[in-house]
Amino acid sequence: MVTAALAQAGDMLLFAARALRDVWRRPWEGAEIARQILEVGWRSLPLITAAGFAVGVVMSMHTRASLERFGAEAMIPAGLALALIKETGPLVTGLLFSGRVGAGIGAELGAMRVTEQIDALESLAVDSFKYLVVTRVVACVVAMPLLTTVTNFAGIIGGFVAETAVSGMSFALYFDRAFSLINFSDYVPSTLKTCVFGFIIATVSAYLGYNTRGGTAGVGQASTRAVVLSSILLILSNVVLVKMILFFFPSR
Amino acid sequence: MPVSKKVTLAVFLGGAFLLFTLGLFLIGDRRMMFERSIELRTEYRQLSGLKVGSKVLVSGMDAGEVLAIDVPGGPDGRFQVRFRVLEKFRPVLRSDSVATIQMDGLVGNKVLQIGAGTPQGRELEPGDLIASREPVEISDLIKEAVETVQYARGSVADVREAIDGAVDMFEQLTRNASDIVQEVGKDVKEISEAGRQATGDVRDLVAGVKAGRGSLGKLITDDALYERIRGTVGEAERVAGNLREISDDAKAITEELKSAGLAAKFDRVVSNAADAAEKGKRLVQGLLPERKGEGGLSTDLRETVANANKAMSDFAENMEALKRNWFFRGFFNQRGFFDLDAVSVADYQAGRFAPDRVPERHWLHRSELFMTGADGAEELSPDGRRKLDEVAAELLRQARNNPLMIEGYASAGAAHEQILASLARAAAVRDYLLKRYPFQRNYVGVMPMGAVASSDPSGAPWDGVSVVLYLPRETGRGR
Amino acid sequence: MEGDDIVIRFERVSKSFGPLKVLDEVSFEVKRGTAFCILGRSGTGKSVTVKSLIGLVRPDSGRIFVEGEEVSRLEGEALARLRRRMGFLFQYSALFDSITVGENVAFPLRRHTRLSEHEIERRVREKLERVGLAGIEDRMPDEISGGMRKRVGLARALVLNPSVLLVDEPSSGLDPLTAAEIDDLLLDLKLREKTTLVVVTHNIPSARKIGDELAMLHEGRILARGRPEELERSEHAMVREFMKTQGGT
Repeated sequence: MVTAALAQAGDMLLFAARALRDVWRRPWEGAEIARQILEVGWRSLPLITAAGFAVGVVMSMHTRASLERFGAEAMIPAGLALALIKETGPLVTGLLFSGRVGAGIGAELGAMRVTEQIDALESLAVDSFKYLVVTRVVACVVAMPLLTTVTNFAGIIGGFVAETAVSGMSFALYFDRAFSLINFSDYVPSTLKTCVFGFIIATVSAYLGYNTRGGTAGVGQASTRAVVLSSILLILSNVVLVKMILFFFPSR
Repeated sequence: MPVSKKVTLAVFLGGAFLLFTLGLFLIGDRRMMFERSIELRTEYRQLSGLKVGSKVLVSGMDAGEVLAIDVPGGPDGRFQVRFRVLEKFRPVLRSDSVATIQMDGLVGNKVLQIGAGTPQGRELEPGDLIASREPVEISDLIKEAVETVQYARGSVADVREAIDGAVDMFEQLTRNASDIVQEVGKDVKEISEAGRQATGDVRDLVAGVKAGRGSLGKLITDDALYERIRGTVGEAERVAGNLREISDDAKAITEELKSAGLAAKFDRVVSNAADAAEKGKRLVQGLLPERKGEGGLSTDLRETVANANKAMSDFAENMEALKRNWFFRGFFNQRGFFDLDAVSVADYQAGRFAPDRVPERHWLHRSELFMTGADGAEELSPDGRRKLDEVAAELLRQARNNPLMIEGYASAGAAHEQILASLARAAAVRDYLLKRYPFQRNYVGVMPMGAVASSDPSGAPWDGVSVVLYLPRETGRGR
Repeated sequence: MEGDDIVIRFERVSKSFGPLKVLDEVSFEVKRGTAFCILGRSGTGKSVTVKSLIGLVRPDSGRIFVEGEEVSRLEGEALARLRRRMGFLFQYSALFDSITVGENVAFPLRRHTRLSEHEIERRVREKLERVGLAGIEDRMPDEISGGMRKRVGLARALVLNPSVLLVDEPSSGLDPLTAAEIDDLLLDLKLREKTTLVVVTHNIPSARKIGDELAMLHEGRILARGRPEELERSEHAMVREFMKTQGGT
């Protein structure tokens, strides 16, 4: 049981390593990458925007409740933006992404495996790993920081809507205050770390889909496990990433 | 890939990337990275939490950020703070600008505030050093205040001890002298009381800050308030200094008295003094005019007593100033008056004394209270004493921290005689009441009303005394 | 190598999945332009045999030659080059279901040739006409029937004009009529274009119709090999029994 799990973990690591290696090998599969970016990125936009907006509204209400006690209402935009950009935005985006895209990749590749489409690709002299896995990994790595940025801004705008409804604060003042406490070292690493989230979600889901066994039932299982495993790994990796970011960019 | 998909892809990638860049720009803009700036320096022994990236304000306006803080080479060096100020602030920054470290709001972020210079100062060049004022931590300030109060208390205790020592000596000479000293003791008690009050106020202030009461917390960042606290502490220090002097003087007396060589001289003074006075007060006062020019201990004593008097009067003045300071004002305001002796007759008659309080009056006619004594002056008759006992019993039913004003009335003689006579009557009543009943000295005042027509029962000018207790409105039952 | 007319050669190929031995020292050859049918019950390693021919499955031991190259040792670009010369028709067609029928057929052309869009369209049309499905380029794979999918799969497998076509269960999941149509297409291919066929099937009539040589696979071994009539006279009773069955899936 344990050895099986370890063996699978090792297998997955090799899979991820192969993905990293094959990114740099011809053919680049540009068209397929573009198609995948549209699939995982563009088509996630409605979900990401709505979720980010809602999170912003809720966070604004919470920060207001806690900061009001100290008479520090002026800090609401800055507090909200800082929390969103540093942690909430990346994490919420990552989890939503793993739900939508991880499940999709797991199911799609699983179905392709059990219906022999992956074999068919191979028989047509196409490197299925490059064509199916690497393209999705690249697409996820590219899409995650972009979607995170969208979440951040949607959240800040959601916070503005909630804030202006209560205090009537102007948009310009809100934005000015929102960015008053944020440093580049808060913004850039936190956004770019989501590339790692994208990589984890894509490789884990692709691994499970690519190695699906057991017909249609196996496809469903692959899809579910893709979400569960990639979410957990995402949250765990976030701990390591935050630690690393704090190490390289100590908060001043 | 169809064209429409290519467009969508470009929109997605380009749009999201632009959004990301917008974020970068907003942050950079907030940190004023896109404007020309000059680098300046200042030095601090104590940084109080100022750090790299902290905001720099020029006269309260965002103007830059701290770039680097260099740790000094040794413990007596100062931290070199290098910071950036936007070029456009150069006209207001002069060589006499001063940098201070201040708190930015309540969250505790520290900012470097650069004051605008004066037109006489020269404009600053990049790399120039700006003078700094070391930050005062509110905790230090409070600690200082508490220390000062403790020091004052300690001094008071020393004074009492020294005076007690002196008292022991003086008691050998005259019992009355101890009366004076006891009076000093009472004053000392008052000082001590005021000190305690100050500690309490400081404690309240600190508690308020800790509880995060916004408004009070904000006051702490107020420069003016800070100056007031400094002022108070300074005054308290001065008071303590005076007390220390008294204490030293008293110790010196004691020391001198103890030394064998002086004992003989002292004996001589004792015999002289014993002849001269029956009452200690007169003895001590008598030392001043009568023994002028004589050397030795009598001179020392005289000087010492004079010094002590001066110090005590200085102290009284300081206490007076302290009372009116914002720090204690609340306490005195609540009490209703600063000092009953400071209430002028004119103000009193105009009803400006304790307007919030309701007077409870006891009218006492001259004939009820006084008889003519052996020396022709008025003194309290046995009946008068009994009458006052009744009144006192009535007054004591009320709380003793209400001002008690004894109004003296006299209608005979010229105007100045009326005033003097009314004062004497009021004073006699006060002395009697204070001697026999636990009224607080500083809550009992005398008011020479002279022959002023008052609202007495008959409508005629009153001849005698009216004892008036000023009660808070809610408990008052005025007549 | 025994001359040019041998296109495919299995040399003592063994393959196991865990404890299950699927192929046990299997050897055979296929001559150019002939059809080789591998018969056997389900789960007897027939699919593994054809898949190992294009390197989808690697044998544990033994050697496999296709067109003189050892498939079992080829990697990367060399394997891809060989695969481009071979076609594979999967059991359930394995059409890419996210793209249209036309794109499915065009897929190999787009990836492996630099033909103009016009030329690609022409060839796709031609191949679809060849399998009797003109004008369905824009349909999605899940919008057409199983038989049509099979034929589209065939068109895709043939679009690069391979010299070897591997077919996995051509008649499975199809009604007898449709299955017969597929058989006709395969036969036509062999006769007109001299394409070498390796067909895995358990449909005896189909094998009789297409196959020049048949091999009966049982428990990882080839029990009998030869022309259909030779197999009917096989010394193995089981082979004779099997040859008597009439189609079915």
